[in-house]
Amino acid sequence: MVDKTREVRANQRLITERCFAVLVWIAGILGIFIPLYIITFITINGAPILSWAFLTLPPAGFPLGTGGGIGPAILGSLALITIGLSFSAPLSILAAIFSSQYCTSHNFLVFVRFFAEVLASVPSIIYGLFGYALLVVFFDLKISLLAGGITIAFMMTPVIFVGTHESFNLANKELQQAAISLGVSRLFYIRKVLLPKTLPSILTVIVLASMNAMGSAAPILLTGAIVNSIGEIRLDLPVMSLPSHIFYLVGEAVSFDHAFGTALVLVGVLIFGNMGVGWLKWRYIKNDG
Amino acid sequence: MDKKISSSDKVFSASHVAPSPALSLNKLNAGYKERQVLFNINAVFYKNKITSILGPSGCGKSTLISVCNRTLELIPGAGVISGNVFLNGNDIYDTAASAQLIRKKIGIIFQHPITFPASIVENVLFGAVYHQKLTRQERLDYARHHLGIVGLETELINRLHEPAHKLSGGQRQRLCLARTLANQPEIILMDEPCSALDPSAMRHIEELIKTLSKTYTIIIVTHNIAQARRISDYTIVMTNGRIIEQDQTTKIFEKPKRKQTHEFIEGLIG
Ligand SMILES: Nc1ncnc2c1ncn2[C@@H]1O[C@H](COP(=O)(O)OP(=O)(O)OP(=O)(O)O)[C@@H](O)[C@H]1O
Ligand SMILES: [Mg+2]
Repeated sequence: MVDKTREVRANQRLITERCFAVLVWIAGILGIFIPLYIITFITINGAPILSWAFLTLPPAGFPLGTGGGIGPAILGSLALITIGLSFSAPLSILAAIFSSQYCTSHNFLVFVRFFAEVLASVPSIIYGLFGYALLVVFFDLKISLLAGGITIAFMMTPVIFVGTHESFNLANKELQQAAISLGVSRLFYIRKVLLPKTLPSILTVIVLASMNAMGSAAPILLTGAIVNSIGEIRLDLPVMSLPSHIFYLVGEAVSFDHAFGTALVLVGVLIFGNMGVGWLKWRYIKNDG
Repeated sequence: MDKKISSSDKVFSASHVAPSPALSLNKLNAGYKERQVLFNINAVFYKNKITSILGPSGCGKSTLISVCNRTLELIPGAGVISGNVFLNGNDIYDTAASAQLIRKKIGIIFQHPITFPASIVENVLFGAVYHQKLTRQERLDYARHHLGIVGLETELINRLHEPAHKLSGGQRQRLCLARTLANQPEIILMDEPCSALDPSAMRHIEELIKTLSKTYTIIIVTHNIAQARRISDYTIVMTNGRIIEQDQTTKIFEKPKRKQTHEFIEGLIG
């Protein structure tokens, strides 16, 4: 009698375990399969148009975009991210250092984190609208690389801030205590321990934020993007960008081939970016641990 | 606070000619955000002597030594509520006192050895390069000298530039000691420095502590009652955040004045 119930229970447990394993496998396969399918789909549709000329030439043809290439859009996207990063990375890392190392008011911290998290999840079109109203109109920057770059910086700052702050908080307490207890200054600790220790996670969050920003058309459509350019990169001029170019090509039904080609380039840049971080992290862990 | 505690007000028996005090605590109350942990602590630590702090787990030993070099206040909400800590006659909690300088002069080795994400040598030099001018040439020798003191140099001779996190628990403990010694403190606070060591390594550290006491004032928290008896000149016994007795070690162990002390060292409480 006792043995039987025990057996039944063991069987039930086994069944549950099996079901769970099957579920995990299905989820895992879907998780790999879906992105793989998307990438394959884009590659199949985009690859035929890829050529050196496509990667380097400005768009041409009538309507514009049916010929030529996307050279200026690649340059423009890289320029926008560079500007965005050079504003947002230092600002958000300094803000994270302040809030994790110097700020003593718990309430202030809760308040800041709450707003940063809200801002990090605000849809990008709202940043576009805000950038347009503030930078393009109020500060009269016109639709330009600078206005677009700063708008992208607005969008990346809360994301980088929250990620960095989180990794600082995780690394923090005992290491900080050990360092400060040796009589060194807070700055010395930040330079010698905190930043090196958290560098891999900071890099990751920076790249994720950049890739996300690089892929979104909404914030730059109103602030920095133009449909055609010969590839001149100047702060006071608008630039082409990869996502806004796709938006234009598809939105105006110009050329699906070119749109897929552009999408493939964009995805390629994102994959390379992520691989770059993986490599940096790997090298870092190998050297330092 | 608690008026009943009076034995700790009268520090050490009169028959003993006391050496000069290095650090003294006066009516100290301290604790964490939610609760007070130390109550009316009066204690004296003498120059170039070893003082052990004994007491049951959770009685406040770690808290007590961390108020001695202003590291308790690094925990948000924690700190001294009232009272003083005097280092060579100056209150270390005086607003004019530099916490950084105090932490350099009074080194602490925490209960859990924390190494920095850097090489073994860089770990040893961490505080030293901040406080002293060392040329690139001098640095390695300086680090090796201090690793030698704690018996790690020969053990690690080929691994000096490896990351410190690859060390064993006991090696890390000794590395932390080397790191504190390299800082050239006057007083060394140790929180259970032998908890991860085998008996032979423990003997080595005990010998080392005795040697170090010629140059430094040493305060050591330990759970090992026999160890306290072996190495320390003075012993403080605590329970529930209060000092119940402090005296020369021989007196504490041979004729304790309080029944609680006797019970504790016989292993009956705690
Ligand atoms: N960071 C903290 N926040 C709140 N309370 C704490 C903190 N650290 C310690 N305490 C509490 O303070 C009291 C004393 O702790 P302490 O670490 O000083 O004890 P201890 O005598 O060193 O114990 P052990 O021998 O186990 O190391 C304990 O009740 C503990 O729970
Ligand atoms: Mg402790």
